[in-house]
Amino acid sequence: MRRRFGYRKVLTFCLMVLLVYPLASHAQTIAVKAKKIYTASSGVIENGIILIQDGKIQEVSAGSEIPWNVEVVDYSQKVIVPGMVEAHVARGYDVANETNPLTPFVTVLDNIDTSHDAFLSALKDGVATLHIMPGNNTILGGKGALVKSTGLVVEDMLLVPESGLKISVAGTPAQTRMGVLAQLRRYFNETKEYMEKRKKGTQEEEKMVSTPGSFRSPERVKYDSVVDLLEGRYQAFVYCQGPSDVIRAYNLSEIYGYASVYLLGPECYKAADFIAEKKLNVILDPELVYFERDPITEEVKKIDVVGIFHKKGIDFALLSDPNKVHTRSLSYQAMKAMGSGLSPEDALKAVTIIPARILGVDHLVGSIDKGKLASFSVLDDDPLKLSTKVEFVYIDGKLVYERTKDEELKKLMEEKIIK
Amino acid sequence: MLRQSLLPLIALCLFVCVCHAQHPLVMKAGTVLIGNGNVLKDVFVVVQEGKITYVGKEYAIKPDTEVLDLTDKVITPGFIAANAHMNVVKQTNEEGKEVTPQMNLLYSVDPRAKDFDLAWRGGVTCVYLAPGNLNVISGTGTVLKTKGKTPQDMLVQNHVHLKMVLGREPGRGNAYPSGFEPIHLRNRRPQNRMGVVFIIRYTLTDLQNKSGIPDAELTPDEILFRQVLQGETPLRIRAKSYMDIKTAFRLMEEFGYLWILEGGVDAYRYLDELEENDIPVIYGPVYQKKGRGDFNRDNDMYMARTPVLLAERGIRFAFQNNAESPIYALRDEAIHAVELGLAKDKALKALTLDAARILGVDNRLGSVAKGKDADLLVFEGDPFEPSSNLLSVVIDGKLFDPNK
Repeated sequence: MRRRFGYRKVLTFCLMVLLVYPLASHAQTIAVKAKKIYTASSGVIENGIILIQDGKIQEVSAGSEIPWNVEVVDYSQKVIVPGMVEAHVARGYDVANETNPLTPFVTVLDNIDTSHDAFLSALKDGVATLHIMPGNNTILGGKGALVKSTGLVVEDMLLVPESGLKISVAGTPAQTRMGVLAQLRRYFNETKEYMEKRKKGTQEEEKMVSTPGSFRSPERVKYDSVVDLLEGRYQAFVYCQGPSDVIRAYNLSEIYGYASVYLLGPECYKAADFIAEKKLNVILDPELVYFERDPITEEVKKIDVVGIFHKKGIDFALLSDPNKVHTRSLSYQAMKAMGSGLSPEDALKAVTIIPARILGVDHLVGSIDKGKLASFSVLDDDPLKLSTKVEFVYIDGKLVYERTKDEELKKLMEEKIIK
Repeated sequence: MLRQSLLPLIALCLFVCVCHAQHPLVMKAGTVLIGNGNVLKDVFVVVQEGKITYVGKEYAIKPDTEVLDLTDKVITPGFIAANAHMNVVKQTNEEGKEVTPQMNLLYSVDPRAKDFDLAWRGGVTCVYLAPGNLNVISGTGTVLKTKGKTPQDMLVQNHVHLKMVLGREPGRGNAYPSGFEPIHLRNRRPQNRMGVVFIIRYTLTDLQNKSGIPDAELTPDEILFRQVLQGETPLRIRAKSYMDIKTAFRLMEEFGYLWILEGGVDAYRYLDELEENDIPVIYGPVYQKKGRGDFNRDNDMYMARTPVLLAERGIRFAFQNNAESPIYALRDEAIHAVELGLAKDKALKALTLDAARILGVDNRLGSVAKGKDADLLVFEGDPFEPSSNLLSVVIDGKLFDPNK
């Protein structure tokens, strides 16, 4: 009798758990109501709802049906856009470039300063994902990382810890392009030799070196990150200063068989036909207007870089440069690009889904779609207007920025200045 | 005989004159932002021989004149950079002396420099250029148009302000390592803020002592300083940090000159004083970090709201650029100020009429009004929306395409 009672108790408990479990899990679900949702992939949804569970978007719909057991966040007077993605950021740390030109083994993970200005100003602008990269002055600059724009330590911010290798084929004041390319070829050849040698090596050796914390040979340290590139674990981000650099960088990547993303200088518009033909992934320079001077007639020509790429049907990602007043933020760059003939939808894509696609993370970020991370910003009006303000930013379904609680902005706006 | 030969000559002269008289450029404008804050809707703007000859609703169009239809466009006056940092002079610093009041850039300006093209393509039709920052008193300023074949063509007014630099800039690189004697040829005097103020005080006091002496017995330098002390030529004082601005006020009380604050990163700290003494401010670029390269690095807050604060107090201000922001980005500076709360009419006024008033050329420039120089900009839409393009630029009545 006593034993049977125990059974019943256990059964009841199990039943209750089974009943309550779905509720408990649903309690984590958030439904965000919005007047407009710019999905960046499938147009605009009016009066839409985003269901978020465990930091991911469960559903995006136009209907007004909200499950009874979810937490509703009401932004029904506001507009939601995907968190912007900046495809190449040489900020977020103190020093961008190594002095040694060949340092593929360094990684920005060791360099990122999470309290750096760049992250807060990115959030203020509605940029949720940053691709932090070494600067343009080194030939093999090191590995980059794709991070969310908020977090206390780097590990909190990581989306992709090793997202690409930085290469520059532009000449430096100290070295010509010949020298740069010769050094690159030599490094790649050495890496290939090393790969052959490793294949021939015994399994024990392989096991020993691949165990974490065990001895790593100097060779391994030197070549591993290039091995990863040549074996296709990530792509190269190649800085091209001029149009000829694009072609050289392309040829190099063809010879050694790795995937590249091209970081273009302003003059690279001249290689637009080549880029369109080969369907290269490109990131435009922050300077969207290029002034070229004819050396003979001395006539200055204004070149609308965005317009040229847009007309050729090339998808490009935009960048910002906060040091200059006319390229200050990513949203400002998108607004400027609209002046070159991009529709607002296309301009939004150039700072959201296209950079995500170029970085190979369009399954995670870049648009508001089912299955992606819930990274978006809430605006008070349509995006890409000067008067529009970013009011809230969500990253992975968590509220990470509120305009009303922004201390710096408060000081700025309320004149709380020490006289 | 004489009459017979004269008549055809006179006729020819008349014919040449008639042919030479330019056809007026008639613009039928949807919106005209005059520059003083007012807006005109659906008016004609008529330009002839480099001047605006008519602004109004009723204009009898002659049958053979072409009318430029700008009914859905916006016309504004040409923008004026009240202090321009442009690469049009190779070397702007005369380092032989600390006090070089007679230096003037006019004859070293290269009218074919690329930066002039960039300027008017960005809508800046008029710039103020002055000698560099390495002298304590570095010379007088020049107001130039940004399109022309020679500096004389471009000149609007010369010897506008006398430039004075406070702070550490004149002393940059002058100090020699301690323990070493100054063996270098280029051993210049001010090495810090104190030295700069000493040189100014020394120069002006010297002149005060000569108050009884007539102009004929003074050197040209001293005549210039006399004009400054008598308030005929305003001083333009470049002062960035708060202590330098305070020094400028202190010297003002001592010597009683008229002055204009240039740079003014810390201008927000002295709003009361600036308002009380009616001192115009030339501020820019809008976003700059305070105390950069100076000792107060603890507070890195952006001072971008300074234009808004100045406008609230009614202090006259204009925009400038620096090495980091190119001259064609002058409009972007105003756009950022608008983003932070500056009214659009105030922003336009700062770019046009107020800048002209500060430079003392408002009789010729700064607004769309009859009799003024025909320096106009045609925008696709609101000039303070980053996506609206500049479609054409009119300088001295001539139409140019900035997008070519």
